[in-house]
Amino acid sequence: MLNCAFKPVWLLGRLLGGLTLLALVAPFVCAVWMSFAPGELLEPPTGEWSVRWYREFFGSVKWTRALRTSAEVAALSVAGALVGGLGLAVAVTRFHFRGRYILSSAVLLPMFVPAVVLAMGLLPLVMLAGLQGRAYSLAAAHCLVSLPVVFLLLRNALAQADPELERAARGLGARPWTAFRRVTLPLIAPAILAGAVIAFILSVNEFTFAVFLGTPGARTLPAALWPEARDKDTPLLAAASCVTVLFTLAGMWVTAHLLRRL
Amino acid sequence: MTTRPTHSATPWLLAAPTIVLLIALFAGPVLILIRTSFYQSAGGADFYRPGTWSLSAYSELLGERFGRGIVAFTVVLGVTVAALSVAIGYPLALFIHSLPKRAKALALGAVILPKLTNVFVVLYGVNLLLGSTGPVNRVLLALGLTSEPLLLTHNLFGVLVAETYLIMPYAVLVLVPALDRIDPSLIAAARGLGAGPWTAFRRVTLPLSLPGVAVAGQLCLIWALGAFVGPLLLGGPEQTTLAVKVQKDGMGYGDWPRAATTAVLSLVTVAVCVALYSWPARALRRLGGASA
Repeated sequence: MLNCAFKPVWLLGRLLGGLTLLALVAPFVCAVWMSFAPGELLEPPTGEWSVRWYREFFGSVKWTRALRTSAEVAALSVAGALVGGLGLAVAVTRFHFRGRYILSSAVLLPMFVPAVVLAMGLLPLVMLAGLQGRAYSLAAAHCLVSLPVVFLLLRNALAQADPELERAARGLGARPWTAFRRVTLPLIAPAILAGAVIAFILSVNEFTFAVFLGTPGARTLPAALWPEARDKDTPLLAAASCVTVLFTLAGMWVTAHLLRRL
Repeated sequence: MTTRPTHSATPWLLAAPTIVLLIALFAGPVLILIRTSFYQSAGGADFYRPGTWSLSAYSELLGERFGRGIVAFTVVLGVTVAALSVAIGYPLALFIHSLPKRAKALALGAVILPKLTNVFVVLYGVNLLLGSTGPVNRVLLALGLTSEPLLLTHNLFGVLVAETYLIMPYAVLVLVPALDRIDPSLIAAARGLGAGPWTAFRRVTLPLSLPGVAVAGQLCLIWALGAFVGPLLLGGPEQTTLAVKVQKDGMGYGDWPRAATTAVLSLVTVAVCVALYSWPARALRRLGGASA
């Protein structure tokens, strides 16, 4: 297929592609490496490795509490995004009603508005309601961000799942809910799982809403890390970030496990 | 259960959670934001002076050079980052698209990896790479291109690199499926008719992928215009975007009318830029459609 004149170009393309990928992964590798640094300085460990910063992270209430807040917010927002997204997706794919086009585009709107704008609008609302620093106000905000993605995933999955199958189950005497649970739900389970995982990742790593809606007493991990990142550059930041990654992976595993029973 | 017109309440009940969420947490806040931007600023402990209507926040912000400069900087940064993301993301997507199945999954994983971690890891890593003792400066010194380590962070360069890092994965995630959708037999046909690989790419693959490029560009532009974390952590005071200013005014100084005005301005900026973008986007789509 390849003629001689084209081969160098092809090789160069491969090399460039590989290098770009490497550059994308590099900051992450750097951070993992740094997190094992023994000293206070922003220098990667060369000889000596230590888990000092991990010990400091798990030894301090400030960080473990932030981790717990993150977990609460993420769990609530995943549940909310799934309930909202699935409900709307079923409504627009299985029913013909006035307003379904408006609804399916309205749900995408939050994607096109900068997070800071929404956060600044939510701040007075949340403060007036006295809900600042509550897990569910932040979880609701995160829901808004993940809803478009979850909705699109589920709508595509439902559009591909043949409604005739469900009708056949109904014809055989299943009630609507049973038909949905036993026929359609298993068909769209992969999309539900993907949506839950994406909503979880978005929530755990979300920064803007977390900064605006958190309080010193209740902050998710990214918001709690911010002053650390701004004022001092200790390897604690790297260690905390690695913990977040492990936490994200664990959360993905738990979500997959919970949803396998569908 | 199918798409027959229905007057039953079931679809509305199913959609109710989303509708409530959209009204309470999207429409509501945007309206509150607009109202807040018309309050008078109050000094001291209050966030604004209740019951007042005033345009002072707008005239202050748009009247001073500083405010207009922030709008201009946000737009320039957004457009540059979006252009960089697509320009770097397209060859990368092409490369990933050409990989065999397993390697492709791995490569896509590497692209998503920065998104699995919080932004600090990425920014922290970028900080390390670009720092005065980082590998980039070491290479530059070793090559003799510079005699002293260059200051690459806490300036425009650092912000550009950081934001491109944060936004480019989205471009790749849009472009790879767009390339995968192109029928490979078309390229085989072009080659069979005597086109070289480069001609086949230029005449078949490239035009057919342009609609995907249009979508990727739009998404990157929208997100890059909201740039917040990169300028906040890797920029200096000169790299203040509208988003950073909203945070400073709203959270730092507690001046809500000013913060809300800046936020409204940011919303208008995004809307205007997306509206203007529809012109090149249409051209890209037409190029893609015309050659199909």
